[in-house]
Amino acid sequence: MSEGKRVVAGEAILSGLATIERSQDESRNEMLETLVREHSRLVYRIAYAVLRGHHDAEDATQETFMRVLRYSSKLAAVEDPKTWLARIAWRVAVDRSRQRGRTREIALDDPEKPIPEAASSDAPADETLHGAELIAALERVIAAPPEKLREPLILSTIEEMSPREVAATLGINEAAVRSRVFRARQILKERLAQRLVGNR
Amino acid sequence: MGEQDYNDAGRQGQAGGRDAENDVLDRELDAALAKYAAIEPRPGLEERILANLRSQRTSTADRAWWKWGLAGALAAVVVVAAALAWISGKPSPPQIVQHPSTIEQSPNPPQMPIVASDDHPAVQHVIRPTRTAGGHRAPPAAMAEANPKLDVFPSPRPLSEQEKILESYVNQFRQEAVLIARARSEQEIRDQQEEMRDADADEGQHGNGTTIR
Repeated sequence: MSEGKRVVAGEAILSGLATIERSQDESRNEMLETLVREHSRLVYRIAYAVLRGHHDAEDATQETFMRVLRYSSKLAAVEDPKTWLARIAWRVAVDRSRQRGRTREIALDDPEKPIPEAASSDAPADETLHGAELIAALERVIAAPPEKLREPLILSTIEEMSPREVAATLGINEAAVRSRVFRARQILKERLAQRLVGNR
Repeated sequence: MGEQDYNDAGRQGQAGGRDAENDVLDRELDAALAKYAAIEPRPGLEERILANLRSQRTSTADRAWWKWGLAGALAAVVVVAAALAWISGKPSPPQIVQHPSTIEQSPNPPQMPIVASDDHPAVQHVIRPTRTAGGHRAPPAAMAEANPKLDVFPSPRPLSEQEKILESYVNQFRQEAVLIARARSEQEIRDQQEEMRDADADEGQHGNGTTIR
């Protein structure tokens, strides 16, 4: 009889632990779903900024949240989930880009290249055409700056990312972000000016 | 105006022109970079991500329930084994009743190793030849003479030294014995969970592709 009571007591302890584990899992699941709803667009834009393709960017976004699911036990301890997520997304996208070995310059006739919003703009036709031409030229020359300068430039173009968040994502300080973005822009302006003058 | 003034004015004009051109290029670059990054995901991205996460969680939860079931079974087995070990260590009363004379002649509880002696032949009827420090046993003839035929099979044996020590410990500290068994099973559960987590973390570092199962 006493042995039976001991066995029942042991099983009660285990079921109690299981209940606690389940409630912790539920709160982690809620936090994860909130992250997806609030930041999936940002993650996608970070992935697209590197990979320049919808399929690849979506795959990278899925992988980013899969990693977050695996590390979900650490979610409660994360102070800045947005930056933490941006850092994971950046690493996933860069790893995929390196695995593929693609450069950031892409051909104009690439089917996955985003179509510039030329037709629906309210600006005059000649300015709109020039804008589309500029974007196309930018797509070609964006690989011109070295990687150290290009990375902060790409991240800083994403409207959801502040200089502080860009710095935290790349693991550098804000002053370095500003300096590198400035130098990258100088290089781009020179290249763009050469292309635009050459096309005229 | 002298030639120098013309040159100066010309250079100032050129510098002003370059600045203006630079400003225009800056503005156009800003606009181009903004459009470069302003990409919208295809509709339904959130739902696809959430669906993928839920399916992943379901398969993980199934594995977790299996682990809890196994851990519960292990804990129950450990507790029952501890209880059975304690019970099996008790001497059975009916066997002792068959030899009343031997009981009278050996009043001391079996806590010390008893060595067969010629001066106490009755003792030899109760005690099987135990192992001495050298591990020697009594010769087979003496064993046959000393051991009467019993009705119970298998023949009961007196406790070994280690069994006696365990029996006395469990008798004195019954609660602690059960708690130790329980704590050991819980530690095994925690170790298994950590191993599973480590295995999953190793998978994440290698950056596997996403799959929907």
